[in-house]
Amino acid sequence: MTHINPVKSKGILVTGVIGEDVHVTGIRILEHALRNSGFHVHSLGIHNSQEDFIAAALEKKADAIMISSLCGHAQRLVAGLRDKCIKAGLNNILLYIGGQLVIHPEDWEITEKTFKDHGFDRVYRPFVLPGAVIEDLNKDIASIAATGKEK
Amino acid sequence: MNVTNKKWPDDYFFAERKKVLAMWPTGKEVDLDEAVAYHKKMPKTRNAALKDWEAKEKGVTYLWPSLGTDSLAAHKELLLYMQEEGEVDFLTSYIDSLTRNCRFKEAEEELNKGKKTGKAVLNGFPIVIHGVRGCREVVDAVALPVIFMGPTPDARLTHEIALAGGHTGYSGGPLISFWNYTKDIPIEQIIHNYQYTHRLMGYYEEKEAALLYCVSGAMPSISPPSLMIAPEIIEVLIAAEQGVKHIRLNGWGQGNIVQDIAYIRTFEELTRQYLDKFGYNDVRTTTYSVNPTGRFPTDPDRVFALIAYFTLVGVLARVQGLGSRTIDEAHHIPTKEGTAQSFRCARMLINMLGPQKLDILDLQAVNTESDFIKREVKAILDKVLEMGDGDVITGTKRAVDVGILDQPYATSQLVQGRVMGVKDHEGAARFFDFGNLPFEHDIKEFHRQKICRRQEQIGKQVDYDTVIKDLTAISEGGILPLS
Repeated sequence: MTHINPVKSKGILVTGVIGEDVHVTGIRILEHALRNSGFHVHSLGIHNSQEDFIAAALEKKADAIMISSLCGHAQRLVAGLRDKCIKAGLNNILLYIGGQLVIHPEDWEITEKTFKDHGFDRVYRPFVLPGAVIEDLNKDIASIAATGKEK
Repeated sequence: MNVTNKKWPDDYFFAERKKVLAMWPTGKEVDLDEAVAYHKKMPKTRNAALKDWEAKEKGVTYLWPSLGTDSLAAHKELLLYMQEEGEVDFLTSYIDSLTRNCRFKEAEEELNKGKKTGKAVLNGFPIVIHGVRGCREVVDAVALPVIFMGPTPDARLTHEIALAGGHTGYSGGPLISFWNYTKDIPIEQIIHNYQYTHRLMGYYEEKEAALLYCVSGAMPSISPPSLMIAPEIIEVLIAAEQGVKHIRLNGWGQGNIVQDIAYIRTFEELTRQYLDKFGYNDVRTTTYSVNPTGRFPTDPDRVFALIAYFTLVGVLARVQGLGSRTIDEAHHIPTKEGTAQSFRCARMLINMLGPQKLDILDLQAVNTESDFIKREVKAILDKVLEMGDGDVITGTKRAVDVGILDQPYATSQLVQGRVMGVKDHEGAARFFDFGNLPFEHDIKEFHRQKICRRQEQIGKQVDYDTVIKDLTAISEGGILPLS
């Protein structure tokens, strides 16, 4: 239950909510869990643009950008993010997204594919548990390190 | 910006007023002395501060709905409807979110859009756009007292116009606005804005026009009561210094009856102690309770049960005022019919339970809970005062920086956000993470033991999974998660 100050960071993460969305509970729980698991979390909070995430990722030399969105407009808000990352020189950055990503209910496979096509490495359903995300992060960061792709 | 808890000198206040009144053309409509005279001519039955105090003297519980729509005609119709059909005792003007963020031009545009289509676009009543005359048109059309409400980092011009426009109270405050309604505005700037609004209320009070200030403190998110009481008392002390005299304390119910009652009982007692400590002996306080924030069930049948339940908790805790959420708000902005139905449900419960004067304030469990709440609040506030060398505002700023004052799930990036709550085996809020709160060992042990009981109940460690399920438990159908 205590707050652990990691000796060695497991990874540098930029987290936040994209767009004019004030829902913050989900990402705050995730940030709390990520910090306690030894990640260095740079939180941007609410009301962020794609450019805000990219600027922070460049400044902090982040391993991953983790976006939360609950307003249902995520597709419009993240379109083109992967290309902008590459243009900015963030060639190997991990892109994660979760929340209430669409307004109308649809099969999860369709939602997941939509966002993977937008260049996201991981797409999460509403109410995903932090443990699952942390496991994925550990795997994905290790795999990037193993392939020797240096940022 | 060096902000301290010191009453503003007249020359500073009146210089600030010039700037504030120039923020939008309707600011020109405010004539303070005429406004005071208007308030003093108003029948006492329409004054929120006096009526709220009357509830305390009579030992009754009054009902406060949250109401707000865009145009003068529609807002007036809504208030009249609630007065006639809702069985409520007070009326309110909830401010739209554009006005709350001082985006007056956009608020005006949206108001005009709504006028053209006949369908409200704004999510509340744009007080500044309607001006003093517009507000009076609404307030003078009803027989009940009207207050305006809505936390915001800058409610200065809204106060000028709403008060001159006949509203007799305001609900909102600097700390709740800082935690939950901003991203990066420094707390001292928000407090400075509220010193202005409090000083304005104090001016009316000096001229013997009573006004009610309803503090809010912090919204609950499975928050042990000390997390809400400490910021609330800070808001009280900031208001009292500027001359506010009638204060309504806000208790958010979370569902565990013993904890909710202990919370409401304790915070009035503690508030009195801190008011007296700083010499604000003539400030009067009343109590108010309201249902928790966060997700509610979507079907009205279950919401009716919750409205009745939280009304029961408030009446047992002997509050003077009760607010409620509505049966239809999970689907859309509440309709007037849905709001009236919700409040008639609460009224029925008050009418059944109120006269019975059931005394459960002295239960052993309530006393134990109260004792820990008191020690926690004192630990936080005494540290805040120590950090501020006796000045509550200086202390607040420093305490927020290091997480002595902290909140879970704040929108502000300036909040540490290390504290987190989880429910115990009976659904009471306990600390899952104490963050940097200055609590003694046995206080922490009390919370840990309660959480252990929950762990025995669910057969596993309390973890983030538990926290997430607890946050949505009520909307899923119970005080504790059903599965």
